[in-house]
Amino acid sequence: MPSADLIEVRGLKSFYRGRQVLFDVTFGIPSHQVTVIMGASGCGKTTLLRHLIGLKCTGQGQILVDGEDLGSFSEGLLKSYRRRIGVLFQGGALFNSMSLRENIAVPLKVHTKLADETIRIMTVMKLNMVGLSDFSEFMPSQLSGGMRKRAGLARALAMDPEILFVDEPSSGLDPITAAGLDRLLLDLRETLGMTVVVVTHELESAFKIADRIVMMDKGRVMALGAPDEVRRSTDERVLQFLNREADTHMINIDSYYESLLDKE
Amino acid sequence: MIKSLISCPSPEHAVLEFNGLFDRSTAHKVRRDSLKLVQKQGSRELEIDLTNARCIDTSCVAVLVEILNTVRKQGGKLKLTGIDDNTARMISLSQLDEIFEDVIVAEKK
Repeated sequence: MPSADLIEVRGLKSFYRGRQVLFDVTFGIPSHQVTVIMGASGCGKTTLLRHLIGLKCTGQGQILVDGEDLGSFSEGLLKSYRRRIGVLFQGGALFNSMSLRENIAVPLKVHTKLADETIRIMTVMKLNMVGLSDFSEFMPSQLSGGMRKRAGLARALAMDPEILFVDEPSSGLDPITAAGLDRLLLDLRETLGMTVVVVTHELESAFKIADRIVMMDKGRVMALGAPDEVRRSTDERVLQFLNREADTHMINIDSYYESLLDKE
Repeated sequence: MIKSLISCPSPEHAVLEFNGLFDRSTAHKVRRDSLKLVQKQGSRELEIDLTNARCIDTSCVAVLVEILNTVRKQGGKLKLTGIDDNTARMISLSQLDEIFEDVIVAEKK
């Protein structure tokens, strides 16, 4: 399959409450491959994801989709881009007042003219893909966090998106279920030619599924390439992350003491 | 865009051939044309030929499941021919291989 970059991130800078959280982030997301964005908590992964799905447009730099700048998309173009993508948010982001079956049917009812029976069969198929076909009539509140996450993935897959964005797919899942989701993401790439972007800090899962890894640290890309290339990196921070070594907790004793003083 | 062509090689056997892109924008037409023929065919054999159709999403698998269910309810028999590797993989991804085992005719594109 071709592997030209479907999405290019060029010199992206992002700010949150006046603080810079992304610094000149540049990398490409190839078509029909699994790109894993990884890094420690708070490194800017989720902010980057929000830019990629068009939820956060303020910032500097560009995100090119098929060569067109996402930041300059009209409302109509943004809508059609969102129809091409599926997103699994960290918490699953399900509608609490609907059963799982109804949750998954929503995008199909809104965006297609498929018959009700076809939609019903598709929702069962998607729930089966994530191992939840026996829970179709359950409400989200009746499920564990891991099950809600899987249901969220089923909904993200409802429209067979061209690009699937997944935020922390393995968090809250037992190892067997997490391995099953990894397998599913690879099958989706293989079978439907899906372009998959996974945001995670789970090393084992990342190296198992990634065709390309974007490793981030404090809002910057610190390593980029195929898993083997990243493994061979000699960068200290990359090695620290790969070897799961704790950060030395550096504090400024003066400002720490200052913060302990009663300001009243 | 997808087009359909009906032929009846024998009184007991009807063939519905599809030509074009079979996806969520055309699935309703495949469904409508197939189910209409199933009503007419009753318990006889219906063959759906997808040699010239390209299935690119799971809506086509869902429609094929629905057609299969309807044919079986009527006591008829469904045969799928011209299923390409991608469609076979989608059936497999949906864990429906066993259900389609006796339906898909071996020769592939």
